[in-house]
Amino acid sequence: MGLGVLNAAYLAAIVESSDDGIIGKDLSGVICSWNRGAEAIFGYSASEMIGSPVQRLFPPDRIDEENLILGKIRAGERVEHHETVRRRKDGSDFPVSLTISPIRDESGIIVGASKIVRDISERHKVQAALLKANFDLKQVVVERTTALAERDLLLQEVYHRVKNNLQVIYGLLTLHTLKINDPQAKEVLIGLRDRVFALGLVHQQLMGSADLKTFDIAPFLQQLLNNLIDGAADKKIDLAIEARPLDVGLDFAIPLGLLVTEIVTNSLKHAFPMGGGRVWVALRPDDAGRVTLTISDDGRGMPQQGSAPVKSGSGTSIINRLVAQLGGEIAIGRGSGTTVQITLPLPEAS
Amino acid sequence: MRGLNRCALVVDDEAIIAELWSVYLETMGLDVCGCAATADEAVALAEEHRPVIVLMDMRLRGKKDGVDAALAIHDSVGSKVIFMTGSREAATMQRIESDHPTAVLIKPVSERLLVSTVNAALAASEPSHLE
Repeated sequence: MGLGVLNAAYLAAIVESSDDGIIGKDLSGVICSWNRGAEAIFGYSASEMIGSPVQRLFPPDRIDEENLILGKIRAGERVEHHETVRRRKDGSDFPVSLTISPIRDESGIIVGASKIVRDISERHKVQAALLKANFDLKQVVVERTTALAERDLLLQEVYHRVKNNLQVIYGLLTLHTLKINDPQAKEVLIGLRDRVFALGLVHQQLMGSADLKTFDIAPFLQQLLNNLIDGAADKKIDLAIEARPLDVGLDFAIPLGLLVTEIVTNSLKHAFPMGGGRVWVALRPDDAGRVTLTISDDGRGMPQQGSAPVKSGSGTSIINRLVAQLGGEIAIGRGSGTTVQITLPLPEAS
Repeated sequence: MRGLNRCALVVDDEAIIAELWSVYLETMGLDVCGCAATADEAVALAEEHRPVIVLMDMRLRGKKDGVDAALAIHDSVGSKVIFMTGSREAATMQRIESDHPTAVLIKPVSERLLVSTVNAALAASEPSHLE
């Protein structure tokens, strides 16, 4: 047995074992070889197909393709991964990828063509499924985007309503403040009004925030403190604010806003009986996940807490509760003025 | 343009808020010629009293908003319009800007801010316009 014969048998075995259909045809398009892969793909046996024109495998609307293919083969060109449709024995059409190459005899003359047929039905199914999945996903994205936009509108509306209601309460408190002559009652009403203002301001900031959840505390503090100082304009107090940008949410801003209001109101009320003075407010986040709020004044200093227990509802009690709500600690220093230093864990939003 | 009267019109569909603005204005010595809750009421009152100042809420009762009222008042009366809006949304701000407002205040508005804004607007309106 010569090497050539062995090689031929070896190559024939490879052809037979291929899952792809491997078909040989002559230059007139008549089939001269047909492997098992082709049997499996088309449903015809080798004996059924050898000698038949290759067009038997074509759907009627594709018959013209063969002229184009044979034209290329005669010119010595290959047709690679040509995607088209073929018909099985049972009459069903299916997508295929064809690679067709010229076959030459020993003298180099083209005598026919080999045709490798790959059934790409599965690939098409996968592609179609992928397209559908993609389409469905886009639908979901559109729906979610719409839902989010609706949620944003709703939130805006809620913040607006809350703020409006707070503004009405603020208005009522102010109107009653103007009618009242008792200085102590007036002071209580103004105090309440300022706390309501702080709550309203939080909602105002939230409405302007991009995500409707967080906002920068710095401009909030500025407006909050300006309002408090404006309310005590007759005392001629200077205000200095140093607030680093810090994004916070409702859960942090509301107790912090109330805390600042309490402490600064206390300071304005007690520290400057003769008027004139200075209040410093600083909010400094650090790298250790904490933020320090420092409020100092150069007034006469808060009276020392005596032996009397702190009454619930008093300014000090409210301050302590707010600090606890924020999970922080408070230290009060008294010297020529008063310094309140509060250390808080940074809010999660930042 | 016929002259304007040294008084203010308050436009807010929230009665308590309208009352509060009125008290602030009267405390600073400015007469309040009326309070309106809708754009149409606002335009009618403005044309009747020709106020030098209009405090205009953005959201009003009915279909028309504060900008609709302000544009009409701008054309027929020429009052200085100070917007008092509860909203900072871009769409709202753009609509307000389309009217060339004298000032835009975002609620909550403190008395001091309102008074200083109204004083600035009064100073800017030429005395010759006032009767």
